[in-house]
Amino acid sequence: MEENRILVIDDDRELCELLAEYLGQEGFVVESVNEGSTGLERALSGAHALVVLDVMLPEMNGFDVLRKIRERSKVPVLMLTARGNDVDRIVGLEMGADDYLPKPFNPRELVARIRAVKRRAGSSASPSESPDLPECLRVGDVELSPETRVVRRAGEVVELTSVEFSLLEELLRSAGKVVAREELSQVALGRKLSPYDRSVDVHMSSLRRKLGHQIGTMERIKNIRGVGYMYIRTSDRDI
Amino acid sequence: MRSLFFRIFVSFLGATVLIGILLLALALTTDPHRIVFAPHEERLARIGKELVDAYRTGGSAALQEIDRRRERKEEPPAILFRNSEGPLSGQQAPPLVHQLAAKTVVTGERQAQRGPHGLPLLAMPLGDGYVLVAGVPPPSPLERFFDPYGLTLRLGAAFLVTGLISYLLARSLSAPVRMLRDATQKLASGDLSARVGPSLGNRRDETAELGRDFDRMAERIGDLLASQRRLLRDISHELRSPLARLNVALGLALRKPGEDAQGPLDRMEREAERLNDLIGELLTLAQLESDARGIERIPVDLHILVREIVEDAEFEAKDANRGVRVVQGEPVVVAGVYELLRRAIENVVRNGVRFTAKGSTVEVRLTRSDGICGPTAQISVRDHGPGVPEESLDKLFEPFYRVTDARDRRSGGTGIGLAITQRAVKLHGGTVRASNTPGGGMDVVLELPC
Repeated sequence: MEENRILVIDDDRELCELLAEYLGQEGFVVESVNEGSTGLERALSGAHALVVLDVMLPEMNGFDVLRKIRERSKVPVLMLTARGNDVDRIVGLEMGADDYLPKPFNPRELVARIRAVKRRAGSSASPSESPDLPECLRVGDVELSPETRVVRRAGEVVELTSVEFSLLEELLRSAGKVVAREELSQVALGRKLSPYDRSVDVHMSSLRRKLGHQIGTMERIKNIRGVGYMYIRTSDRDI
Repeated sequence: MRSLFFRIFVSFLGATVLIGILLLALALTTDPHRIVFAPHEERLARIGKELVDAYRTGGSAALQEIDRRRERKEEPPAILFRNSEGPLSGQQAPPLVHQLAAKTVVTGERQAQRGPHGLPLLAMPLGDGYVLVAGVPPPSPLERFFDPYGLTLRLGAAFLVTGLISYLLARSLSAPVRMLRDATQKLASGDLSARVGPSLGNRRDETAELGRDFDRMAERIGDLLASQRRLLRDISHELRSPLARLNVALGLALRKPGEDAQGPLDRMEREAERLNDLIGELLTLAQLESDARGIERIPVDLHILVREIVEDAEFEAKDANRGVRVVQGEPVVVAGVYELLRRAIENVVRNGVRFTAKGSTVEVRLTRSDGICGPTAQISVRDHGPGVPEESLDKLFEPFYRVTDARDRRSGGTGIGLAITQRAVKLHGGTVRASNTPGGGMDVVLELPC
């Protein structure tokens, strides 16, 4: 098995080609399969470090493929689900998928998740990751591991999207200081902030909701009008 | 019966014929000239005793005296015989009266007969050879009314027949109409499976035809709605494939060097995201419209939910120099689908934030009231924006409805938010309405049954 071989099972040939090119630039070697049965065969061959599996496949659907894979193999599987379909997500995760990504996705997010899943699966660090990252960011009751991309609050895992994760990571690194919206947009969304672009605020809002609005009586994430956001640094007695 | 026309025609004709037959039968079986003795017996006995006593004490003169008195009071004549002699008053009597008296003496039984001019005469033996022959006073109006052989019986029979046939006819006419109405109401309230066919049975008339037409119509409406939803869902799904490719292609393009392209590419990425949000909303809408039944409801504390939504919105609104505040909040719990309720309320609050004037605050009120239809929760969201023209208020909840160009896409939103709100609220059996408030701004009120 090669470290960077990825199997993509998706009936959209053109998307497979584009993914092969994109992931290729990230240092992965991509093999694409367009139907479920062949995909299953290839996934069980043991030649890949990770499988990207689309739920909506003709004939044998993604869940069937996943179930068959799990009967024989522990290869990490990242499922592509229809957006907003929680049932797909839950079923996929219960059946043993390692992660899911709603389609259409931002390719940056796909790469981040592929890396996280691989790391969690115990593979060695991917080549582009710098080795001097801190083990864990811990502020107040929140813990964030950049390595495994897992966030815990008071010991419980909080499920975040990749954008939310990046936003939180950035805020935690500068906890107690204001981070400009421009910077957050650049880091989390990979683009410059433009007028009327509310994306950062929308993501920030849902991040806040997932983490809880407040720590004790303090607002967890503060919106500094016209500037950006600040994660409150709490001393131990506040918690 | 085949047709309504035939049924109505036959019913009326049948009723008329039946009444005719009945009246004829009554006329043949009852004798309107029959004289009944019984009701007069007591009176005759009294008169007889008076006459006999008078005769014994005063003879013919006394009887004549009584005759004159009766004449003055316009009472029918009463004539006393003894054996075949008489009248004992010494006056003249028609031969018919003589015959009647003789017959009574011979038989010793009471007799009744029509006298001259149709006047009913009664003869009664009084014992000791005395016989009384007396006229019957004309019946009072009340007596005439209750006379079993009079007009009342005939009218009663006519009423009975007409009533019975009318009842049967009315019932057979209204029953299918009522069924049709029930089905129409069910259809109108969203039950597209409502049909009248099975309850019509073997009917073949015009209403049954109407019922079958209704079924065909309902079938067609159901098909159209289903195909519309399917189309919406398919389009949304199909749009996502090219969008997924577009995203990856954009990712590739962003990697290529070239500062000049960066701005437009960022823009493209944002638009792709917006497109994706829109598709997501469309799918939600399609789902809301198709999965109307069979959703699991849990108790949702609206007070907490509204506060959370407002806090989120406030968090974002602050940056645009606007505010959102819960100005009134009562603890209310409704049974519902948490995620749907959250979206329903959030969409209205965000809509308020979007259109409220800079520096103003959107006011959110949560109240509980006991209406005639049971307790309800009311969530009112009032903004201080430009308001909406009156004629557009109802259309606000239609998908993609935009009031004017002033509320354009630049202010964000997919144009489906309020439509989702309306569908979600309706799914919970509630209502949503918008109104302009005096002094500018709009007030949107969601009402949910508790």
